[in-house]
Amino acid sequence: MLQKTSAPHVSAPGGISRVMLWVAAALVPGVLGQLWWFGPGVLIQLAWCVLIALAAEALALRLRGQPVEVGLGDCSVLICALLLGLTLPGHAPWYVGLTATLSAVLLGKHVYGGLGHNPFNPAMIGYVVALIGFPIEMTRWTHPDAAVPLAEVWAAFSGALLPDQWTAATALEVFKLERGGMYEAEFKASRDIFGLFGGRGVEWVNALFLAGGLLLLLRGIITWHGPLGLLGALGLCALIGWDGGSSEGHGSALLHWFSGATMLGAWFILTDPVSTSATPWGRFVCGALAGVVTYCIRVWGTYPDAIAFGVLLSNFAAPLIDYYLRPRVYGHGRGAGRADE
Amino acid sequence: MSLVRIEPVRPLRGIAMPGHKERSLTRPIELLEAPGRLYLRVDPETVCVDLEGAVLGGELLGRCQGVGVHAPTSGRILAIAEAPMCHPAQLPSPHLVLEPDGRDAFRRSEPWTRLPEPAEIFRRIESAGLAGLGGAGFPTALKLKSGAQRTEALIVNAVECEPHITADAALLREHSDTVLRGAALVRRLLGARDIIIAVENSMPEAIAAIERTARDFDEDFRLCVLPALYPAGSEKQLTEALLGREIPAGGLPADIGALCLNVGTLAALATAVYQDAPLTHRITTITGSAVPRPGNYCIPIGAPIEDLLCSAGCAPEDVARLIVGGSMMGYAISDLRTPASKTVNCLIADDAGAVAPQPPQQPCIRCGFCVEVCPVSLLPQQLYAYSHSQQYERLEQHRLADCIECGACSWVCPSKIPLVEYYRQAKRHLHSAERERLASDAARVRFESRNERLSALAQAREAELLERRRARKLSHADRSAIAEAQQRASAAAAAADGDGDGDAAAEPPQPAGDVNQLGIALRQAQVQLAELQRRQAPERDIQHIQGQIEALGERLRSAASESESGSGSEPKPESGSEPKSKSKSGSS
Repeated sequence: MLQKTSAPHVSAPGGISRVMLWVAAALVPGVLGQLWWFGPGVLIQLAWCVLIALAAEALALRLRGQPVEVGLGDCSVLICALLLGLTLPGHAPWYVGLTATLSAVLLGKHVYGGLGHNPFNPAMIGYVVALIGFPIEMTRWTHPDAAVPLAEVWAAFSGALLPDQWTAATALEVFKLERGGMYEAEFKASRDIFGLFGGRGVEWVNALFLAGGLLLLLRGIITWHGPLGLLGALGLCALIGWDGGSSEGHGSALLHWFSGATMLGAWFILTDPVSTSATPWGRFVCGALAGVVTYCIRVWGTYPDAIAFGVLLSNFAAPLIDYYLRPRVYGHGRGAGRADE
Repeated sequence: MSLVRIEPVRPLRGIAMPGHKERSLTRPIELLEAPGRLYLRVDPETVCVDLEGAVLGGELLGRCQGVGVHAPTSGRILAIAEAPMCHPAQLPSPHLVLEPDGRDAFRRSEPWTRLPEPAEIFRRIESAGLAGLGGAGFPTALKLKSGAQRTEALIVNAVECEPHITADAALLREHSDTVLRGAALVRRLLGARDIIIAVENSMPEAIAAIERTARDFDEDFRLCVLPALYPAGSEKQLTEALLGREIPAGGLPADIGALCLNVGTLAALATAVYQDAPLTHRITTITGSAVPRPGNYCIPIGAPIEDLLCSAGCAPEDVARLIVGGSMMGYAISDLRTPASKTVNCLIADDAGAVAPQPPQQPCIRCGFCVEVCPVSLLPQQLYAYSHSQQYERLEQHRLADCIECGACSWVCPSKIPLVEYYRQAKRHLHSAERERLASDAARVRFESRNERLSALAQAREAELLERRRARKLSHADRSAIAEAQQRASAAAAAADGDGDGDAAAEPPQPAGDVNQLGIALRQAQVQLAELQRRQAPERDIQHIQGQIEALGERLRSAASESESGSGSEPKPESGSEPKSKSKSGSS
């Protein structure tokens, strides 16, 4: 008996898991940067989030009557957990990661029907739940120059708050709240939380995430539209708000690009295909929307960083953007029959 | 005279995918003998040879969907029998069964060394059974007609972008002169300005052959070597790349001054016109892991695929899957006895080891890989979502109808979703919905026109009744007019009486054009006639009056028909009054 397959009878090698593993690989430089500047806490958070995420995913698949191996095999939950782990402070206690991950996997993903059906980025759902639920734990980042002993790292994970001697407000927070009428350059020089062009340490972590993102772009796993939209809009806003560095200024484009979670957000979070727009220019608009929201909250809002809010708001708008920014189909409209010789 | 290399006007988009062409690319074309039986698909009512009669090679047997079917070799027609159609659905359909006699005798042909009038060339093209050999099988004569007088560029399509297929490359390598002759002929027939030969950079020998043979022609050719990208050979993509113009949706290439013909079609056309040899054979690539001698074969059309595979050294029992066409757009068939049709450009026979199990379908993650590769800029992932949820209005909005089913989206999909299959199903649904809509529209129109007709009839009847009622009312006036006429008639009769002889028989009054007056005059004359007859007047007078009556009757009829639209009541006073006047004349 001959087999009847439907055309096309061949397909490109690799599946979802290959895409996801490339994303994971592209995260490695940024993770190493975070490890270098902020200590081994990041690895604990990543491991913890991955563990919870796999368990939650397996449980959810089981409850929904889906094949567990297939669901875990696509590695999508791994990426979700990694992104979430990278956004948590390295010395957050265990319950923060637990709450965030369970929210991400169960509320952010499976409540909507699992992979491919979630309207919002699950990692950002988890992050926002943690940010609102544990405001103190979520803002206790260590100073990039602090060498926290391993015992303290473990103690912090077990639930003890990390002593103040190692923690510090982030560059964006300091820039926003503690300027006290100083010129920008003067202020930056007076505080060791600032680096060459962004936050100290964070600027390099951002640069490494940028490198990882460029790798994904090169591999064709993401397109340039979303990241360019976000970075372009953020940079443009910063340029408009830039007054040459007065005491009232809102920070240069470089500061905004290389501080906080900008590059991680632009190259890894915004580009989550499920929740963002699916059309090329839709992705650009989604990115630009996230960029503008991020800038506004950073400058005028109560939170020091706002990539998560920006991404979630752009997720809201994605279906509408998708509908209105459909590409022109061959043979329709202005291009049909037109010669451009 | 010259061959100019040109670059595509617009950059070509597409997927660089493994071509798998190396197995057959350099193999020479091998002519396959006709097997024990040939099955030629035909519309039974068009068969024009004797069943159980002998036929010669090249003889017209009948037609299939308007395109002539010719015998590939000499032999005997056995019957019209059902065989699976060379089509994805493989429906059984009538085929002429031809048993070759091994002599391979051909009918007498009339080769042309000098070309006659275009009309005669067209006639030969129409009778040669030519259809597009690239895969779609569109009747070539119709295509040429669609492009007559408005073709600027003739595109010679040798872009075999699908994996495995090397038939066009082999044809160009060995018979590029025939292809170029065909192209030059079509250019002359259509008055086209340019001939653009489009080839893929994966066929260097074919390119060399074109460059070599083009020197022998008095024509200018343009050669465009395109990168091996899928689906560059599709008519829409190729036209856009070469001319920078898009074929309007629902339109033809001719609408933008282009005509795209496959190299195999052009070679068949040149052979048909110059050699007077209709299309009976074609070049087909037979390849796949179950084929020990893959290559390019010149096959007799109508040969069962099973026999063709055997000729290429393949044991049919080893075949686990057979694809007709390329691995991107071809279709798998379940019956190896299916006879090869004119559109079979490739047969891929794979053994069980080479047929990978279809990977499980995973959810769409909207990665957008499909958006990037879609050659017509659709949003495949949206189309999938809408097909899945059966939102047909949305599907139309997202231009499902423009999908060329190239399969590029399915190829790249990391979730392994058979996207094209979903689109085909949705298209089928939309198609049948459209048919139903048309049928219900037709029914509505029929119903409405019936209602209109009935109401018009009812109105006409109403009007007639009114008219009759009016006529009855008028009869008073009529009666007085008739009485007056009778008086006048009797007066005239009395005068004639007084005259004695009918010599001076009174001329009936010359009536005016009015119908009523004419009628009155006629009746007067009739009364006169009766009176003369009663008195046995001379024959001459009676004849005179009779002539008058005839002339008056003629004038009355013509006047009545002129004013017919008026009331239609003209004849009534006549018919109503005639018996009266007769009785009057009888009594007088």
